[in-house]
Amino acid sequence: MRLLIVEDEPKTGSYLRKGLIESGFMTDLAATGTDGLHQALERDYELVVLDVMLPELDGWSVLRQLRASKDTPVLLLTARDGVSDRVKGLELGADDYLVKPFDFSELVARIKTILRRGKARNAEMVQLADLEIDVFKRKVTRGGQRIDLTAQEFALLHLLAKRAGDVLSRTMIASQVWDMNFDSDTNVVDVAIRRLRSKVDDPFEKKLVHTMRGMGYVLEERP
Amino acid sequence: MKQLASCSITLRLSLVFAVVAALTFASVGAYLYGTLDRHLAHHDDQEILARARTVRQFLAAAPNAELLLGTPHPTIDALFSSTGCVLRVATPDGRVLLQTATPSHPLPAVRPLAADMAPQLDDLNAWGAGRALRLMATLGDGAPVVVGIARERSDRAAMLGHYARNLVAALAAGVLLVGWLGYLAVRHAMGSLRDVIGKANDISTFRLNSRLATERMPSEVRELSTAFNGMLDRLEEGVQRLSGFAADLAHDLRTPINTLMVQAQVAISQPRQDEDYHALLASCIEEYQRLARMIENTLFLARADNAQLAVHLEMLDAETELERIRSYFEGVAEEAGIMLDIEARNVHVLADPILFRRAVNNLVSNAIRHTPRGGVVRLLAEQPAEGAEVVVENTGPGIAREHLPHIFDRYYRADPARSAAGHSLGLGLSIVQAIMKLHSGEVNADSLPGLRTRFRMRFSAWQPGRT
Repeated sequence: MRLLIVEDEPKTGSYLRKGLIESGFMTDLAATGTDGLHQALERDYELVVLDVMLPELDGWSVLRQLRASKDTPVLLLTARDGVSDRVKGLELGADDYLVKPFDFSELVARIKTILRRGKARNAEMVQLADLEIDVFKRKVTRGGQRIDLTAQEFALLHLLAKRAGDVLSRTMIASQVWDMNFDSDTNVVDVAIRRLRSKVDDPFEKKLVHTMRGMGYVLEERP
Repeated sequence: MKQLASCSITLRLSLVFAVVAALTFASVGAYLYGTLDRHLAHHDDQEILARARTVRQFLAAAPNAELLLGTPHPTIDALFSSTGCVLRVATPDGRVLLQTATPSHPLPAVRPLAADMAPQLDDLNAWGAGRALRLMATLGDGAPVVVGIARERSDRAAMLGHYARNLVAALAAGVLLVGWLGYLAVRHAMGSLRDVIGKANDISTFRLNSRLATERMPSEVRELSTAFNGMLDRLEEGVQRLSGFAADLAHDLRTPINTLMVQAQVAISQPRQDEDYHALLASCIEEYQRLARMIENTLFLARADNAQLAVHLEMLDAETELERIRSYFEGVAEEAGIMLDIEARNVHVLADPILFRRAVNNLVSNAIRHTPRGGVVRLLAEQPAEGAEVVVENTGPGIAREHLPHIFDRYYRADPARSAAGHSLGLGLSIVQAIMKLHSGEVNADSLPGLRTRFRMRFSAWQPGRT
């Protein structure tokens, strides 16, 4: 799993690299469009994280020239989110598009989604520690004990379980569970998580839903 | 033509005056010329008739043809002395008895007027450019003679030509005079326009308060000035709102940035535990997210203002959409002890789904925030004759009348005491209003203080020019 980051802002670039390495990706960093294109053509990367606003050779050109010979997945980063920019990126063959400022957890989640693409992971049963989710029967048990959840709580738990180990941001949860595709300043997601916890975690010794302060929530088994 | 259109109005009007004057003078001149011509012709004709009568009397007094031929006739010569006048007296068989001058061309050979008939205007014949008369006369011995009288028009033509030259000169002078006077008059009238221009040049974003005094202007310019003043009013309001908005935005940015600065400076001032750093970073992230949201909302409004947002309309089932919103707020409402009610059977709304959800979300989140425990937030959708209406209503203290007109303003603070803590109404309701504008619809609020507050969104049935 080797990724390439093309980002001209040194601080952003080095922190992205650090974060992605810590998330388990081998990561290279290129500071200009020319270097980035060269490296992307030379080596076989699993994915390229490409900033659009680059001096000299900009992200659009890098993407266009890369696509001329290679199908390496590309995730565009940009501070401009006009509809035309979005459309342009996708038309040029970008796989995803992330607008600055973004949550780091969101970036990791998008990268994982692109890398996973094509590999179906819609398991009928999801299991984590003693938590079992039967997706088709919409039945949840923990340690064999049945837990009754509302439809929303189930959707939320299912999302967390599908992406177990990934930190999911509030925006992402709102978008995936309720189809609310905009950043809202309500504490709806926190309340929903609290209520889910009261059923899934509170009665049990071992906690599975964890808060990553400032980042979001993650479902995982911790020692 | 294009060049003429871009010429100054003064020049154009002066030209128009000159052209109109030229046309008027020319037609009056032509009429006068024609009248004079006719008058002179008539005068000439009468003269021929008078001479004919004189000649007949003279011939009647002449004893016979031989005597007539042999003697000079000073009276007759004097009568026909002017150039172009000819008298010829001949016997019926063609012997010329008397001829004052050789005619420039032959006299018309028409049948002569009988001797007992007085010549009338009708008896005159055309002779070249002039006129001729042929008539019978009787000599003193009773012998008949044929008299021919002709008159050329050369003298008259010369006179008319002179008259025409004078006329043209006067006309040209008149045209120039009218053009010049017109130019002066228009220039004077355009003075008030120049005032408008001067004022317009004076206006900048810092000096939008100057207005034109319309009372003493001519009505056409007054209309322009009134429109101009109206435009200034709107611009001034817009600029004021914009600068107010910028100030509010900057003000609202201060709070999170101050928090970020102070907490980082306090943290770095002495060595701390790992957990402290962790807590600091987490707190920073929360503030950053707040900043990011503010920027996103501000950008959204800026784009909505500039109509840069694409609206993808779909026919939405109101009940499904409101249920989705309810399920989203379910937990929050339950914890706050608030009931969420929906009444939206068989209502369809033509709207962009993402924008629709965002607008209703903002209204519901606002409603929940202002509903006391035990209260109710109701989501209603209705289908009037045209379009659709979505109502978000909540019980509670309501909004005071004086605040109602302003609650959709950006960063309007209904409660000034709370502004210190950074609790402005924010951009939520402004965004609702912007979304409704994008849908060619509207949103309004009414409130019964102490009872309930109601926000009503009106969606139109169709949006011209949108897909």
